[in-house]
Amino acid sequence: MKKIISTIIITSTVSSAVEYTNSLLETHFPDPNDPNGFITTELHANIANEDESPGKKGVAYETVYELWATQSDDISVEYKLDTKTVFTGGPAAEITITSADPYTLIPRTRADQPYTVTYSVSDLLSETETDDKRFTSTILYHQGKKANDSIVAGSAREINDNVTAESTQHQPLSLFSGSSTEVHGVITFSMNENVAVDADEFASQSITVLPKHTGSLEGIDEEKIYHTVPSVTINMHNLYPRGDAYLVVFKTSNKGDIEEYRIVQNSQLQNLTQELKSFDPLTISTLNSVIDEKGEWTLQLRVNTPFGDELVDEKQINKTGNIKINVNNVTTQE
Amino acid sequence: MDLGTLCDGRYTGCLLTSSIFDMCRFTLAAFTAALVLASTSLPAEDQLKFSKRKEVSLKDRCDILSSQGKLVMVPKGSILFIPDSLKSKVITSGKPTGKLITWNEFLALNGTWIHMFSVTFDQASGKAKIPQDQLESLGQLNKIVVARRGKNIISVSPKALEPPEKEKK
Repeated sequence: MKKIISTIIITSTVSSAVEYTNSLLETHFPDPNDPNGFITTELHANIANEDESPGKKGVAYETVYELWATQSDDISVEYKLDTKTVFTGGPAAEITITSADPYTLIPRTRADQPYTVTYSVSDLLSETETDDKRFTSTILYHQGKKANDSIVAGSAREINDNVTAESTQHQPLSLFSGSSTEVHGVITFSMNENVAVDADEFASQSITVLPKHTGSLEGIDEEKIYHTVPSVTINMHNLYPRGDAYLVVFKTSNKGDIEEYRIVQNSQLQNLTQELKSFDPLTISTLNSVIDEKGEWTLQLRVNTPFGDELVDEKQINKTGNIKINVNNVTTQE
Repeated sequence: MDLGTLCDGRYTGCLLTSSIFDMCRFTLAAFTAALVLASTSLPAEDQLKFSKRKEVSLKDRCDILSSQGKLVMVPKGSILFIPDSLKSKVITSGKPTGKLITWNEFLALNGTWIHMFSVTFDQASGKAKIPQDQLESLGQLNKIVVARRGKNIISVSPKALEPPEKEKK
């Protein structure tokens, strides 16, 4: 029996208002050729948020480590936070998923933004050493789970050679159908045993896919000529975590000259959370002091997220000068 | 939380990381991803038969002990003996009520009616027997007997509890 000493390192930097109890489970699978094999399950007695738990047991054939969090007041609510499979003499693998969002606690991206999967596989044996596919290859598999719990199967690909940091880029909408403002789910990539049934994972990583924001500006009739700029209402839904939305105005003739753009005071909507955020309509009544010259102006509702600064909605407003009225004529004064 | 393993330099894993807070969006439903992936994304000659191991919830793999508003989960098969007087401590049906705590915390509160019995890995896996005289002694303690290996609670194969073959004869 090959002895592999494993030390399980658990780290958590998240606190939550809801209390959870963590559990570390080791499941020892016997050699499938052993007709009397018994699946032994072992529960670590005490897991803190940050801990190190030595697995003193040798890995007899295959051991699956699982880290669970169970809601302390309702044990029916549980989450498997991580899983790791160790084989004697089997391959090893790593998977990481990154996107333009630098948030590292849980990889995430937006439905219209790409993400990168980087994987490594080592310790594969050659086919001259063995014809057992479990030791000569792995399966890279991915699937998606939508927010409504429906599963979307991805593809399975055989990896036959050891590779180091192989990267592939993906688009969420290539797996999830729907519009970028509606798609919401989790995509998981896993490296698995190459067996037809009961394949265990060597490594896996998930990325959360969040829908793109929607927003609009209301209150401006672009056909009208205004003497006084009316109130404008900002609507913003599903603003990306740590993103903000804001209103900017500039003379249309200065479009493209960012230095002439004026951010309207009190128009900012900030999402300081790590969740999507929708806002109540925000009415801005002070535009008349910002749009202080006659002429054509552009109002833009913009968002700033890890994916960059983007235009959400745009309106043009034509502001006129003073109107002079005399008994016989109505004229506008230049 | 992320789970890292270091296996004498031989195996390193790059891990799924997730936060409890962010994972609140998702419930863990047991599902079977059994797929014969003659996927439209693969040419016919690359068809793969691939089926992941069926996921089973933690709760379904554990027995639950309850006392004074506190709950603890132990792997099924780790409770070796339950005296009649303590059967009420083991939740067998319905939704348990109480606060889930760790085994160490539960044992500290309820050590008077719990006995920890050390087994070897070979005994747990059924490759070796637990001596019958030891099992008989455990039955006389009038305590709930839970198997452990080191600090961990471990399930025990029914084969380990059976008398040796020669005794059966």
